[in-house]
Order: sequence, then C-alpha cells, then structure tokens
Amino acid sequence: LENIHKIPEDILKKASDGNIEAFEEIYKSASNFIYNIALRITNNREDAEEVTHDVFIKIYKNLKNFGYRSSFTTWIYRIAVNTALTACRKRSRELKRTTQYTDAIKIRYIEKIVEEKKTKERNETLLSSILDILNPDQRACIVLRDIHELSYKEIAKTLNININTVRSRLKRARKKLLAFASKGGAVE
Amino acid sequence: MNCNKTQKLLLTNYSDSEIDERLLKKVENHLLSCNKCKRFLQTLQERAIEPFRINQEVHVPEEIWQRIKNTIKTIEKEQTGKLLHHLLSRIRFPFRVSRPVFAVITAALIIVMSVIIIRVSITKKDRINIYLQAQLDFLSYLASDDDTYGFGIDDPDLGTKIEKYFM
Repeated sequence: LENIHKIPEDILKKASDGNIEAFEEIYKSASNFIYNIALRITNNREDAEEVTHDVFIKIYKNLKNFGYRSSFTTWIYRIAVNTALTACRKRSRELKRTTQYTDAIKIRYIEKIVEEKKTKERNETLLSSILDILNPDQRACIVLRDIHELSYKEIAKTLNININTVRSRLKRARKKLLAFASKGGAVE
Repeated sequence: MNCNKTQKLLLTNYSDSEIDERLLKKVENHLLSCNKCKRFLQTLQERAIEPFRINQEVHVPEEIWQRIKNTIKTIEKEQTGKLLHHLLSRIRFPFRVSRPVFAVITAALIIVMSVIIIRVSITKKDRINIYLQAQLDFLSYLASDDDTYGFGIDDPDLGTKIEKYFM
C-alpha cells in the first residue's frame, strides 16, 4: 500500500496521457496489492489473475477521468474490490451449474489441512479454506477489515454501502465462522 | 449490559476498535464478571479474527504484465481503427446523404469548366492569329520599298499640319 502512496503525480499524469512506461511504473507499485485483494476476495488464483488484468485495463482506460476527486489508493481499492466481486458472482453462477460445495466437505478439507506440517503452505491453504466459508460480500468486508485494516467508514466508502451494512456483514461473517468452527472445522 | 448485547458488540465494534469510551467501559465491566462472554471473545479471536492475521503477501505472476500490455496494444489499434472509420465516414457524408444533388452539382461544374476551357482556347487562338498577321505584315514591309509601314494608307494620322508637311 505504501508503494501506491509513493506514486508521483507526474507519473499518473503521464500514464493518463497514454505513456506506457509511466503506466508500467504504476503497475510495479500497485500490482501486488491488487493481486492480493483479488486473491483473497475471489479465493481463486486463476480468477485473481484475471481480476488483476481487468483492474489494470480499467485503470488504463479511466485514468484520464480519475480527476483526483478521491485519493488514488481509494480509487484503486474500489476498482479492485468491485472487479473481484463481479468475478465472484460470475464464478458462483458457474459453480451453481456444476458442483455444490457442502459444509461437510469443507470441514473434512480443513481438518486435513490442519494435520499437515508445512507451516507456510498450511497457513495459506487454511486462510483460503476459511475465506471459502464466506460469501463474496462478507469476504470483501473481512478482507478489507482484518487483512487491510480499513475502518468501517473506509470500507463503506470502498464498497459504496452504508456503515450499518458493513457492521452487519462483518457480524454475519464472524458468526458464520464461529458456527463453522463449532461444527468441527476447527481452524487451529 | 446483558450477554446478548455484549456479544453483539464483541463481534463487531469492540473487536474492530470502533467503539466509544462509554460503551467500551460497559463491555469491559461485563467481561470482568461474565465467564461465558469472556470465552466467547476468546473463541471469536482465535477462530474468526486471528486466522486472517496470518495472511502473507503473494507475488503477482510475472506474465500478467505481458497480458496487460498486449490488451493495451489491441485497445489502441481498435481506437485508431475507430478514429479512421469516423474520419472516413465524415468525408463520405456529403456523398452519401445527397447523391442526386451531388450528381447535379458535378454535371454543372463539368459544363461550366468545359465552357471556360473552350472560351479560353478561342481567345488564345485569336491572339495567335493577330500576332501572326502582324508578323506577316512586317515581313512584307521589309520585302517592299514602302516606307509608310505602320501608317494607315487611307488616312495616316501624322499629327499636326507641320508634321504632315515634312512627312
């Protein structure tokens, strides 16, 4: 996130005029940030790559109209989260047509992961499994709050919803995680 | 404050540090005296909040930038194509909208141009003829003994009476 804050205004200006080298600078500073948001919200590497690609194309096309009405970081957050949520909805429509994931399958999966010894890999898979329990809207709120540590106000602004909706999504998400853990899908 | 309200706050505002001083004190006082809510908070932290803190940054695959660059190239090509198409359609506009009018104007222009060319060529021809005639006259004067070249035979204008006398 710090890298994005450091992007000089003249680089944004040049990129908005179609300068590809300036745009590459923006990519270098923001790509990991966007990819990680996309990865946590979609919870799927393939989708996260697609979302990262789409987000940068949106930035390239709309940088001229950005107009500095909000900070560049807020703008990027908004595009990234919304593109990721759109990808989730698309994926969930496809999933409905193919397989239905049941809680029982998820519980067995998490128990299996917890038994594994490789810590880094296990943490990554564990995080992915927990995120998989939540729906995309809840996942977006949890990712912005618990991973990116945004305030309720910032989350509301990013997702274009009111603060009470943020609060209620977080509450439902955490209740779901607690209920899931009490069923046997202990996370640690 | 009862357990229900406390747990509601523990799930959101308390855990996210979005709580005012007054409510914070009430929650903390309740936690001091209620083991059930204390356990709830512990479970909540362990199972629904802390797992996300283990998040490690994952690096974006290198090939993404190449894909983005390729898409940008395609977009730019499309934009150039659209611009050309737009310009061409603007140029074609008068021809397409009033074809009969255009045909009439073209025919009229051709006629006017032909007339002008013909007239210009006729005037040019006359001038050449006059010039040739003058040259012939001069040559015939040189060949003859006549020294009154340039003066009219019938009524040579010799100016004053004195001039006429001397001539």
